[in-house]
Amino acid sequence: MKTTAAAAPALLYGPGVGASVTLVTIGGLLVVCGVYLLLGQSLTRLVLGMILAGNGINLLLMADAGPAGAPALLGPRVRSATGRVLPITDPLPQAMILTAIVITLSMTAFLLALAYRTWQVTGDDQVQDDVEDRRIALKARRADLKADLRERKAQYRADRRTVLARSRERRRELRESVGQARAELRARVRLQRAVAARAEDFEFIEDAAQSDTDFQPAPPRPDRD
Amino acid sequence: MDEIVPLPVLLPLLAVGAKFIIGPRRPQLQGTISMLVLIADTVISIVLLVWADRHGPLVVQIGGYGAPMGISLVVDRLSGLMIAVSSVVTLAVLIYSQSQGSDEEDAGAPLAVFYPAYLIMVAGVADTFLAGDLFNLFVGFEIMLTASYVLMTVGGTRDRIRSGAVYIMVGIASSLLFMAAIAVTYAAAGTVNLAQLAERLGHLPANIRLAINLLLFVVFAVKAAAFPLSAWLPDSYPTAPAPVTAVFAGLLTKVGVYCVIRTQTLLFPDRQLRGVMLVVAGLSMLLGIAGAVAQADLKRLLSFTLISHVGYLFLGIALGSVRALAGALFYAAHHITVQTSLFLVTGLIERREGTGDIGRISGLARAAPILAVLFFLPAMNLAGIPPFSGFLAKLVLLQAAAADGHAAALTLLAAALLTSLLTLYAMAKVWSRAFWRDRDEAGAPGEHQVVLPGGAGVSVVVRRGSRGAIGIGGQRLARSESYPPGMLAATCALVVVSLGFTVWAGPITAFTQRAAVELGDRDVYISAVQRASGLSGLPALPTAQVPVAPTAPSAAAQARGGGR
Repeated sequence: MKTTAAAAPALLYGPGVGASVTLVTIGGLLVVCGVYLLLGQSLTRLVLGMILAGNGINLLLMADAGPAGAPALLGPRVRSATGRVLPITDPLPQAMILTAIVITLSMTAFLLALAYRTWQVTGDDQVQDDVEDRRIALKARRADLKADLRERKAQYRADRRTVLARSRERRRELRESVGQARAELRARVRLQRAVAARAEDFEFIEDAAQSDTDFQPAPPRPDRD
Repeated sequence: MDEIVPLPVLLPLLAVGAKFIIGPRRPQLQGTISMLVLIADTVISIVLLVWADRHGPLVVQIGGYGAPMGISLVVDRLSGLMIAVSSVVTLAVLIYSQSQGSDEEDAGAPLAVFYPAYLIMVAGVADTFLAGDLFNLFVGFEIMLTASYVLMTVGGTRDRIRSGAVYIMVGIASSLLFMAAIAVTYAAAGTVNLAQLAERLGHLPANIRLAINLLLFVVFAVKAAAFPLSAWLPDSYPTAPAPVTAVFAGLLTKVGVYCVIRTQTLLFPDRQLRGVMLVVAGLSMLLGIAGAVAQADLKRLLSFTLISHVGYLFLGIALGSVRALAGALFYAAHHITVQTSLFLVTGLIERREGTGDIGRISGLARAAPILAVLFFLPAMNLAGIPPFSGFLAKLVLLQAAAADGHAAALTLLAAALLTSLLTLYAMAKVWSRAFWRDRDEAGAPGEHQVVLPGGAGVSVVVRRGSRGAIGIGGQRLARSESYPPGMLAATCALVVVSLGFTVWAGPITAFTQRAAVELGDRDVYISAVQRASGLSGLPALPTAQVPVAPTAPSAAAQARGGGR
């Protein structure tokens, strides 16, 4: 096991001096995994997260006890491989870990019962959002819908305006073209009338020509107006 | 005298064991046992309080082992006050819930688990107050929390399971954090005994001290429901049975506050977190009361006022002067009784009206004058109307803030005044709707007159999202115009006790002043523990590595903290 013997001169009292890096790393990893699981909403995940994080913290406490030493009861009779007399390990963290394990166990049992009951009541083991959350979510959704509605209304109005403008334009165009057509028609009618008048004249003249044969009528001019 | 110190923890636990031996067949005997135990508890804690006041802190080393290995139980003025008030309140709530329980038991509700869990919770609370080391504090916390999880979900209805799951997960997360804090503390200081920690933490570098301080503060702030960590409270408390909500609201948050006071005064006298706590106090006050004003359900409204009034306590702790601490202690004791009695009255109102929604309750002042009186007194007390103790406690706190003179303190003074005004507004709203409004104006509770297009009036029962009154066992409560005598008597007793804070305000403020002086002088606590455990001063230090001189740890730490 690696040790951080001289790493922390700041830690004066603790058996923190000489703590095992392996224990600290594994403990930290477990806590990280546990916190990740605790962020979920399913009670089963929460139970698993609590167990992982709890065990990770227990390992951290274990690391507090410093380097491994002799068992408490055998005391200084135990020697290391190099023949050095080992001091006994600090027993206090072990007592704390035992207590923590018991507490974690009871909490696990309770949470599992709770998850089961949740499943019985709701058919699911999700932790539900609280009343206020739901109310706020509803409000937000309402606001969203309202904004959406407002936007659509505005869009509709804008569309309507453009459609109206376009139809007005079209109507104007139509009116213009109708006016033109009417003018043309009128012109043509006038022309025809003129032609007809001339033709009448012509007939009259023709009638007259029967008596006066050297009179020739001029052809009608097309650009009368 | 030392022998009775562990009794507030032991007696309830023994009573629970005795209850399991007796079995569920003899509820009468069981009830008598709980009652006797809590009465004994109350007497003992008052004796402890008086003793600790007269002769200084009482310290017991469990099993005779010395401090670093053994467990110390300490009663100083602070823990004496807290334990005395808490045992009075728990006794009243026990009487209330027994009366309600025996009333419900006719309906066949399963209550076998309620009273044992309640007693275990009382033991846990007492253990937290008595604990002289951090790990024992953790164990006390866990006992209390585990029992409270059971109480929160008792009956197992859908609502309680839902809000209970939130409460439990928040509690478990804070417990994990507490364990981590203990691991860090032990790694840094090599002890968890509070007295020893108080001596050793001063020698640690400021950043490590800050880390430990922050960890512990977050843990306790979750329990105390200070603002950013309070979201769980108004959601979970209102669904629990009325007596449970009452004791949780009055007591459990104050356990968190007690721990903050203890750690901030004993372990971290250099107040690294002063700024943080001022911000927390201000936000708790304002946002809490803003939430209360918006609520229509009485229990939810009271839960939000609870958050805002925890802000006052944090204000006192953050200011940290003797007067501010004295004010905070007075406020804590006053608030425990007032908040609990308000919730008990709410329980009675729910029982009478079948709901706690103030939009649907009306005319109570005429219909039930006794409830009106019982509600009015603590409500005005909570809002801080002059003759009451709420006013006196706030006055002391505000004087302390004014004496502090710092811009932040003055801002908080304004925030506190605004909060107290808004509390009055919230209480007046409840009063004018539920008590003063004519009964005809609102129609019968739960009914609304609807005029159909044809002109025919129809009254429909509308359930507007608020829950009806649910009993301890989780079944819907039958509405009843009569009050079981125990419920009424317990509520009256608590209201009278809360008025007692007004009548004897002089002696009590004098006492809290002495307690605050004691808190300011850490040597009283440290030397008392050292005497009891045979420790003499610091154990041998590796002197070469001491970075800060023991006599001036705070100045150096502040200098370093300020440089950053």
